[in-house]
Amino acid sequence: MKYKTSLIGIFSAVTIWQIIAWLKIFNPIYFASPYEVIAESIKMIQGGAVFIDLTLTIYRIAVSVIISSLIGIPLGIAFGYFARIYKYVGEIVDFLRSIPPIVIYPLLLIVLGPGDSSRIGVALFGSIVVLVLIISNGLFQQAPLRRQYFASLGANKVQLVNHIVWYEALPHVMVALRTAVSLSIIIIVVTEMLVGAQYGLGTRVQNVQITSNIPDLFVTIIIIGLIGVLFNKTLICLDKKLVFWKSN
Amino acid sequence: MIEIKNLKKKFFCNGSNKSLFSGFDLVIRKSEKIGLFAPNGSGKSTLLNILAGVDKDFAGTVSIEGKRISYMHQDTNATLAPWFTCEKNILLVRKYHHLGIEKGKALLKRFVNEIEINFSLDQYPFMLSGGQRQIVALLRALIFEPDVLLLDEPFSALDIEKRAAFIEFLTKHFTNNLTVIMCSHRGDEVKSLLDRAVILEHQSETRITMDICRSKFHSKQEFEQIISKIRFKKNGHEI
Repeated sequence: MKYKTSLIGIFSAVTIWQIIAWLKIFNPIYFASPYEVIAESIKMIQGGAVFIDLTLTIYRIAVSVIISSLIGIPLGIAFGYFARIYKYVGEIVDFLRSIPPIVIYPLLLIVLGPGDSSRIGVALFGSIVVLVLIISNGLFQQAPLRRQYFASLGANKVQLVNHIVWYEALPHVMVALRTAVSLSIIIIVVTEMLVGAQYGLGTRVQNVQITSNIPDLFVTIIIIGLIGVLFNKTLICLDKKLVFWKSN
Repeated sequence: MIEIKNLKKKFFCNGSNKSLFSGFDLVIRKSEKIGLFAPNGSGKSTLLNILAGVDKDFAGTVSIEGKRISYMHQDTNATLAPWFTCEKNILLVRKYHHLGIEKGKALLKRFVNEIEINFSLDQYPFMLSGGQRQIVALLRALIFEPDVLLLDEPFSALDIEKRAAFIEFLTKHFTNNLTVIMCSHRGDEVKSLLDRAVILEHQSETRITMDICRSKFHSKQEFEQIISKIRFKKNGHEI
């Protein structure tokens, strides 16, 4: 039923898009119709170059998300559990959150060069701060009773983290991951557009400026959107499996 | 022995600090089975939280003899881990006290047979009713063979049949070495389990209004007759 309603929604949106194209509400030079987009997609698939761009963008996003998770999740849990530490670092984390991640790109370009490291570095900066903030604040909001109770039953600090705090943090970890993924997609695509990348969906978007291939731009935008949907849906599925007690 | 000396505890309510305990004293001898009876809001649960170490925000001295203190909290929803099965919830505490899990499993099987539980412990706590969760919490409280057992209204969500089965079960498992403190509203439910009843009252602070010891009575029946008359309503008590 859910898929049926989603399909009706998508079909309606495409129909409206096609009608707008037919009526020429926008200049056809800048506004590709669904028909043109489909035709361009077939051409792009046959050409194969888009797959290199797609693979490299997904690779950069995936590396950013994995590394930021490995750093951000333990830090978020530590700050959330040991509120005393957060008192010292809270202001710094808040300050870092206020910096738009993209502004550190020029610095990373100087330090790391124009390769993938600087692009992934910017995504890491943004994602880690988001993970730390959402997870630690989520844990702050948890009632302390369960932790206090298990401690009273004899659980030591490590057992408390393994048996209670980790599971209390898990719903917040999933929310933080979804936000971090969205942020990583934005940062990676934008940095691909800026400088140094030979391949990537951001580079492809940038190249359209030169070739003025509007259907290609539309297809690339749709692909970027689909990457977001794919990552998001995967995390929602994972959330339902891992945080099974939340919906009950 | 459990000794509470000059206990002071305040709580924040409606924008001001209110005193719950102000110089409260209570001594419980080793292996004594004591019932705490009081209307709601008199500090029974707070006292158990303090004794268990859940609440550390108090002044005064609380000393407990005994290595293993087991506490069955009133709020089973918040004190069972919903991400673990009931069996794991029960057995986990044995791990905390470095006790054998296999022996724990055998003990649990014995408990289950004794009280004839009609639900599977492979389920998660959120799949159970309030009464079933209370049974799981009770089993957890007993599984690690404690020296001190703190029970906060342990039968409140159980039906009459299960309550009777559990009282019989506890009578069997209240060994001579075990010290028990049990909070309740009704004496008739738990009379057979106790050898002392302490009645609390909260006016401006909580104080003991009556302390009834079984040793002061000629017979067990006489003691139980008195205890069974204790019955608290929400805003007062009648003895």
